[in-house]
Amino acid sequence: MTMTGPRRILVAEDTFDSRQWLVRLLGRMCKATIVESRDGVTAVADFERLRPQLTFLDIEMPNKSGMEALQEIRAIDPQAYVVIVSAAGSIDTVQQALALGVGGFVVKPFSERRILDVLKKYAAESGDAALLGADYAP
Amino acid sequence: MRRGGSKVRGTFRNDAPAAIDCPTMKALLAAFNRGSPDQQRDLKLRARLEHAQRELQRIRAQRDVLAARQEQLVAQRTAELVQERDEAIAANAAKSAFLANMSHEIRTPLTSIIGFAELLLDSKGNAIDKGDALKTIIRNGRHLLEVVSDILDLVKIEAHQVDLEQIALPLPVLLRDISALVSGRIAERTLEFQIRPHLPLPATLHTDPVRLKQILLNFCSNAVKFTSHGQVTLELAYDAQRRWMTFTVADTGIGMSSEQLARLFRPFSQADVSTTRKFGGTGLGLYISRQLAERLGGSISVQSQLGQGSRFTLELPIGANDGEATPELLTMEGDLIDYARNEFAITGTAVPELSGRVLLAEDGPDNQRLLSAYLKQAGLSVTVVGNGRDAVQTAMSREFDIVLMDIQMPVMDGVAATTMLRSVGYGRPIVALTANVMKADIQRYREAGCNDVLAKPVDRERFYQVLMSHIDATLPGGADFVDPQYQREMDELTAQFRAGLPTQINAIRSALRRSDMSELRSLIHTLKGTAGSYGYVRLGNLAAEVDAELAAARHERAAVLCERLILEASASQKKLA
Repeated sequence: MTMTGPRRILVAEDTFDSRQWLVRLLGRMCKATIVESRDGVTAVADFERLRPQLTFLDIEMPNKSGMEALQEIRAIDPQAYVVIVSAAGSIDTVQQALALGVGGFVVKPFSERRILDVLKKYAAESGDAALLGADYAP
Repeated sequence: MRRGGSKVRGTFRNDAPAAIDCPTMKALLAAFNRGSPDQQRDLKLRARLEHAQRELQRIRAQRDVLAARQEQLVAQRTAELVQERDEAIAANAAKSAFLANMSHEIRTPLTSIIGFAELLLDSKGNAIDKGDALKTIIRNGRHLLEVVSDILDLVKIEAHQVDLEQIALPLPVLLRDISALVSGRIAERTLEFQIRPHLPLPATLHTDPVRLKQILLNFCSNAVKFTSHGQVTLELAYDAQRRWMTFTVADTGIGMSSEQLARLFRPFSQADVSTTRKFGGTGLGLYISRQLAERLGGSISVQSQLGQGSRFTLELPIGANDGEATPELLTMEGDLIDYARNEFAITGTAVPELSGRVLLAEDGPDNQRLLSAYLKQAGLSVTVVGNGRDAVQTAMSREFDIVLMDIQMPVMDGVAATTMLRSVGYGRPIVALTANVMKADIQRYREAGCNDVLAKPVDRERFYQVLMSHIDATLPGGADFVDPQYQREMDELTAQFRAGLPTQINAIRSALRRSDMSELRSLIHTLKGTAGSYGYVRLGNLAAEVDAELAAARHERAAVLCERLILEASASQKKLA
């Protein structure tokens, strides 16, 4: 079941500064409605309710870790496009996330161009050419 | 008796000529033929005898012919076998001589390389001229590379493994490349290199650019090698009807005798062994060139006179396979030559001035040092890792403008590392570094996500060209920051972060005092994730270092770094205030 209407991006991140930074940046770069979740449990619930086209998921979150949330989200929708954001960029974590079928993995601190690269990858793979604003389109 | 018999037979045959037609003559003839019975029997016997004799003679003759033919066949086959044996012996001898020669060819430059390197190491800088020694090492290294490339080409040709492409090659680019390379070789000689175009010439050639250049360079470097003074010219002509190009390289050098000419295109044989000793080279160049020319659908010919010079000619079809309607023609000599000169001036040996950060993933310490030096000379900062796993982690957690990825590395190879980086959405350029540059290999690297491929050993000029093309093309969108409203928002967020920083630092200080490592770790983790994004790069890096020490349970070291982090935080607060 996919909801229609405007494009939605879910940002699940507990740290205020990081969340705000990412939300503002995505708001700037993408033509989409941005939704925020502050922990893993809310993230899964928000995903189920809103069915965002793209989800940014922090790993270190209270109540439910990002990895657990990722598994539940993929159980709800195996096609879900999830990008992991994490301060822990160990290769084992990356491999684990890739095994769970994530579309991207960004190590914090984020840089604009790293986020932009991931958005471009999503746009190319989902065929969503209109995702990025004119200033950012490839 | 034989003579008489043949007379009788000739005269009295029954099927006498039809001209004897009168009845009287016929009657007389019949009476004569009948003769007496004895005479008749005698005649018959004689005829049979003669017939038998003739038959015998015919059989004998036939036998003689057969015997002669057989003898001839045996002789011929023997000669063939002898020739084959001689050829096999000669080929074997040539190969042995070649191997001996190669051994010499490889040992000679190696001796210089090792010898001069040792001298450089031992001498305290006064025994030898360092510059001279280094130049000798470089020259010998390059020569060694040439020898190895020739041998590999030969092996590929003999195994029918030459990959050929058909690519559009602008003629001015070809001329620029050739003249750049040839000019480099004649720099220290009283020798002139000229390009003589017979216009009109096609603007674009459709052929294998690498192999065409290889053939022409082989011609030119032979010409330069065997000409001490005078001229080397490259003539170009175009046959518009057939769409063939003719390239002729003529020199005013020592030339060749007809015996030398006859051996010219044989593999493993230079004009003679002393030539190899005197002029260097593998003696494989022309053989390889001819093989390549034939694979490209063309041919090579040569004219030479001892003491007068030589002319090597390559004729080649250069039309597109898909039959381009009318190829664009260049009619102005000025354009062709000027373009070549301009470009040549740009492609000098100057090191470009670049700025940016490079991640070099390479396991060989020598290559690490060499490539780092190249990069630093161009003004780039370099981070070196030794395997693919570290390359992935480092590329993901820090900012780089380009990744140079060695393919053969321990733990995780370059292809796996590149594939992984691309699957997590890593968008920076990745350039493969590899000694395996067969078409299929390159295809594999590109499929994994490499933007470009640099062959090892790395050619310095091409190295800079590749870096320039990718670093320029990917300058981070400076326009991202231009939007004033966005800038205001970011300023606001940064201000919020700055306002909250003392609280965070206090919490860190308190956790450190209480030795609450799990609390400390969580706080550091958060700071690590945010500081960099808001422009507190050093703070973010320090947080990452503390995080790493905490993860490794090295608490004392973590505490020391934490103190430094607290200092850095208050320093940056003051700076920004």
